[in-house]
Amino acid sequence: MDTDILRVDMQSLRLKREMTNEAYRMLGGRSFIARALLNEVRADSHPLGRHNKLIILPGILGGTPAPCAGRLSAGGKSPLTGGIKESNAGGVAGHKLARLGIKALIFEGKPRQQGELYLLLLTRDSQELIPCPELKGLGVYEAAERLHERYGKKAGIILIGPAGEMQLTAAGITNTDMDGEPSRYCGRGGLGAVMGSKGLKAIVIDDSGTRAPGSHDKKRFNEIVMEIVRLIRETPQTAVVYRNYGTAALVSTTNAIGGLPTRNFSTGSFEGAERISGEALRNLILERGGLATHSCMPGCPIGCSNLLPGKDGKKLVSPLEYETIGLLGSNCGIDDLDAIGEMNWLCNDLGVDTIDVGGAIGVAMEAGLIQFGDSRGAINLIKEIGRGTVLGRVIGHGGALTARVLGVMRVPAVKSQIMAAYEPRGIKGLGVTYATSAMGADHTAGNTVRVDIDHHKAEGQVRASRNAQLTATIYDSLGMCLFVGTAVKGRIDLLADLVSSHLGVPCSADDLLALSRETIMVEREFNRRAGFTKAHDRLPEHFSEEVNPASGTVFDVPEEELDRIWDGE
Amino acid sequence: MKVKVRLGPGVAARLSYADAGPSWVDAGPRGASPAVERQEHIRVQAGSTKGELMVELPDNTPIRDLVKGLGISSPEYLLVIVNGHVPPADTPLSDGDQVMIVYPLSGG
Repeated sequence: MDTDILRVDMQSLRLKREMTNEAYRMLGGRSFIARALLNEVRADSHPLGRHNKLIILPGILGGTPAPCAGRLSAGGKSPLTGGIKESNAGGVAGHKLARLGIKALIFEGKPRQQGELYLLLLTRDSQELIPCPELKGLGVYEAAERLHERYGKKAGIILIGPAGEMQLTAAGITNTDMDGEPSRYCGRGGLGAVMGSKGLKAIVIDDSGTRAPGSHDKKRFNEIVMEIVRLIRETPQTAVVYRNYGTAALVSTTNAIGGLPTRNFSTGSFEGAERISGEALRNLILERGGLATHSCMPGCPIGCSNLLPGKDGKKLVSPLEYETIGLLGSNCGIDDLDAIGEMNWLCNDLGVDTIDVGGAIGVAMEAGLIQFGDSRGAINLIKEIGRGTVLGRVIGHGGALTARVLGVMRVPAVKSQIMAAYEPRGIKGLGVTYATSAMGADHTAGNTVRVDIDHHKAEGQVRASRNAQLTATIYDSLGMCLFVGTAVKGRIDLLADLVSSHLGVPCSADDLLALSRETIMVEREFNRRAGFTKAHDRLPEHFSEEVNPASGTVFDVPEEELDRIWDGE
Repeated sequence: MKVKVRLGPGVAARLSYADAGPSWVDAGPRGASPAVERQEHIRVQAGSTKGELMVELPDNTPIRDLVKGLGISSPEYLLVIVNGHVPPADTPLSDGDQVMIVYPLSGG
């Protein structure tokens, strides 16, 4: 099927729809972003300047009935890391863009006048930029409500909060889920600030009157879809655990192996872990009449999402996930799910990444600005972001900047991006991923926590990380949720069959792995041009010198091994 | 010897409790219902709960046999954590070991 690239020049306000270049045909999501940024954006350009580009697109399987294949990718040069960035999320926007026949949106330039604000309206027959000064400074929940009133409940919305407008480097880009809730964040790397720098508040996607993109060999495509759905239903994690407990089920595992970040990553096990565990969250949700399972996009049989009501029974936040619980909870010494839920809602509304803000608050606690465990203090710090005070802006720029301002040496970050909720001395494979990914410390770039390996040993971690990074890049390029991988496991051939029957071009598992490796090399090349060297592929030194008391280990994967990660098969 | 076994979210043992009477729990995936091989030498002590079991078993029982004896569904998916580590499945257990059995996930 034909899909187009829509280029939007935010300086001239002109839009241009062009045929997708043949070289991009097999690319989608993360692989498209890598190639397009290397080709089109100078690596030394300012991330918030007119030369950077913001790319938003679905994956290769976007719009199709493949399970969980509607993820939305956003990319550009990151104002947080200074390197290449792709961040993706569930929600409805990915599928809707694909149904409009849009391969990618590429935003270029920036408005001449700072403060101009636009929304891009996309329908089956039209695309237009509309000034939206009335949305200025609005939190994403109210902005989404107003846009739904104006453009209909069914419209998908991609938007930023005030943090993105303020160009804070922990700002993310969100999109709406099936309930119209704007809480599906491409959270990492400050892409919300890039969107803000372009004067773009929202993208509204009305896909009424469209159809799902056709597949070349529909029969074969549907057969493989059924096979993957069967695997999802037969695998305990995807059939039972995600569905009943959400990603919070992971708390007990990471806590048991000393891998749950606690009090600014000073240890890997939290005495309050049971109170923020998957079981505790499930009990609280059911007690208050919430939803312990919920899907963020059509065609998801896993349902890892949830809806947590507050004490009054009204919705507090949806979803509440493991990374948020780890960073805003145990990392801050906080064991109160209500407080974590409130912080999560505030971060969402302001449009900031819960991981980087959780890291910033942990650092502020270590500095003594507030005490570990002080949930009211933490909530107030997040509210400062919305007030636009200097302190709020510091927090809103993430943990690395906060540490610099407050004089804290122990900052759990790589390439200025805060680590996710896996302590790298307790789970060393994640340490390898944090160090070597072009994205900065990012768990989704290659998560080894579910690999059957002794996470405390250095041996085998580079290999585990490499395999996880190669696999993650495939999913991120297909637009498919990584959780499907728990069920599909090594059956990359099934994913290749999906691609070949959809696009009508030959594609093997080896082809997908080669494409994945090439994508990673392109990302590294972009970073090399931006000035990154192997000195940037390191964890902060204290992780190699101070023992994680819960695991009794330091991070000791040899640097030479980190440097050779891509030499191996 | 005795070991303490915690069962992670969604993990359920399918065996009769020695003193608490039969208590069969099936949290396995839909459609999957593997036959449970009874292991008489593995006894769950009184006072155990659904999520936390005190298990009596012969000295040096390997991890693999404990998992099998508890009759947990889909053992090929499990991750077994012993005293905070993830040892190979043939590692013998010791008296007082703290065992946690989970279906490993990645977060979102």
